[in-house]
Amino acid sequence: MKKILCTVLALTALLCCFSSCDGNDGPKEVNVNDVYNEVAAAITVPDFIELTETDIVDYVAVNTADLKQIKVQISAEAISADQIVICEAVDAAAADRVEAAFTAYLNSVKNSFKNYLPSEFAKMEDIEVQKSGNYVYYAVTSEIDTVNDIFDKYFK
Amino acid sequence: MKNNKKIIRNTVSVLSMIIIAAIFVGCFIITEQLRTKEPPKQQISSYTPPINAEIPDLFNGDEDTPVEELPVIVVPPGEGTEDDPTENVEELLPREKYGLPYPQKDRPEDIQAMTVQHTSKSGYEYFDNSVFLGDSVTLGLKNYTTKKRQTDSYFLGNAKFIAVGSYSVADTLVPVTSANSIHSLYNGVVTQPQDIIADMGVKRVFICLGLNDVGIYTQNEYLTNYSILINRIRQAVPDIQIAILSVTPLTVEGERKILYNAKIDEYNNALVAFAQENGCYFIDISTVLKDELGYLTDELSSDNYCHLEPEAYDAWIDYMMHHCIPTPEEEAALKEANGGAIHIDKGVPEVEGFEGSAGLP
Repeated sequence: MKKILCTVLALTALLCCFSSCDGNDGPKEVNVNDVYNEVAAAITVPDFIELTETDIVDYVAVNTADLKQIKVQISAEAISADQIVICEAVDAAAADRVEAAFTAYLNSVKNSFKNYLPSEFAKMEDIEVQKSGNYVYYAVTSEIDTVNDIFDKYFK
Repeated sequence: MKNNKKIIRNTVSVLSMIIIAAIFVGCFIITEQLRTKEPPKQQISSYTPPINAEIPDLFNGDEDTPVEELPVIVVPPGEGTEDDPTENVEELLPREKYGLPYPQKDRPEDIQAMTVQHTSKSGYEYFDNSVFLGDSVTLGLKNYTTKKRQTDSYFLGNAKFIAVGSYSVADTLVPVTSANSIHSLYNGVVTQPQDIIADMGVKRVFICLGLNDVGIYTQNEYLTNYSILINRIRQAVPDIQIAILSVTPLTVEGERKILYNAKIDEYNNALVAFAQENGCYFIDISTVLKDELGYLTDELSSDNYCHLEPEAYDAWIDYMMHHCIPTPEEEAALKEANGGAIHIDKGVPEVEGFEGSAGLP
């Protein structure tokens, strides 16, 4: 009995060791359109305009060669900070650059709203660009909890 | 006795095994939590507007005195403040509540004569090699243009945009290193507009700024700042054409105690004269945005304040395409005919408190 118990406990400890050592390669293949469609179905979507790879460079200093997939929606209303950004970079180094580009853009938008429209700034104050593997994503919306649950489902 | 010792020894062994296993499980849990650790928060530069800073009097003797950073005083739109008229909109209009004067529907004839007159309609190529510089109203035009270009890639030519919500003429002058800076990102770097314009290589700039100045600065301060902005743009791009667009109107319910249509009209009238004095064009886009009483037409406003619906941008663009400024070649011919000025001199009306500056060199 004692031998059986010792064996079981040793196996448990061994299993935990291997689990802890397992590296995080990020989420498996994700279609960013699927993520956005699920978000759009779950929240009230404002009047968005979609920025394609051609448009995005007029807003964000991102190199389109770094992008494998992109789904960027920003509010058509200049006085709304709402936006949903989901990108896949071509590799890890590109993901770092894409994250930096969108972080600079997000901070710039926060700066412009901070003393201009406090209610919009409050929506985005704690929002940060997130990265999981080669995926870079974030959202500014009053329904952020719902969106984050969906993001976690795909990217965590 | 011997059996008891054996039982105790076995129990201790088992408990030790359990504790060791628990330690490994605990390490596993901690490792998983560390893997999903949140990234460090990004630092955002703080913004501290100066309080009661004095505006330097540039025309007090030495006109060559360089202007350093002008203080920027930001008054946010009246959200929930005592100036917010929306709380009383069912009782009194802002005009009635604050005793505001009525706006003008049409500009006085002598002033209107100094604006860009009606021309035959141009195509979108008119906007090639140009940039729009403005605030959230211009940002709305940028977003509208982005959307239109997804189905018509040549919509508005290849016009570019420098647009920041809450941007004022005063804001354009703030150094990029200042905590007050809200300048646009250009290639990922916070950059002043004249430097962006120089790097873009455009030939023409359409400036639509003032809604975030009129409620804060006097006419003289506003025009002084505008003069500095224009000079900086010309220093960066000496042969650029500059067209000033009228400050756009507010709806009847969107007026504020310190920002209302009659005041915007006064500033626009002064801006027309300023444009002529400073070798700029004035394109009076507010003409097509106003209703018969001089307010921003309700149907053209997206927020019952100052921001515009797509239909308003259609009217704005159509107006500009019917009120074109000359090409550089045509401008050169005009200057030759008018002794160096780009306008036929119909006289400059007196503008209280504004001493103006020299025209084209």
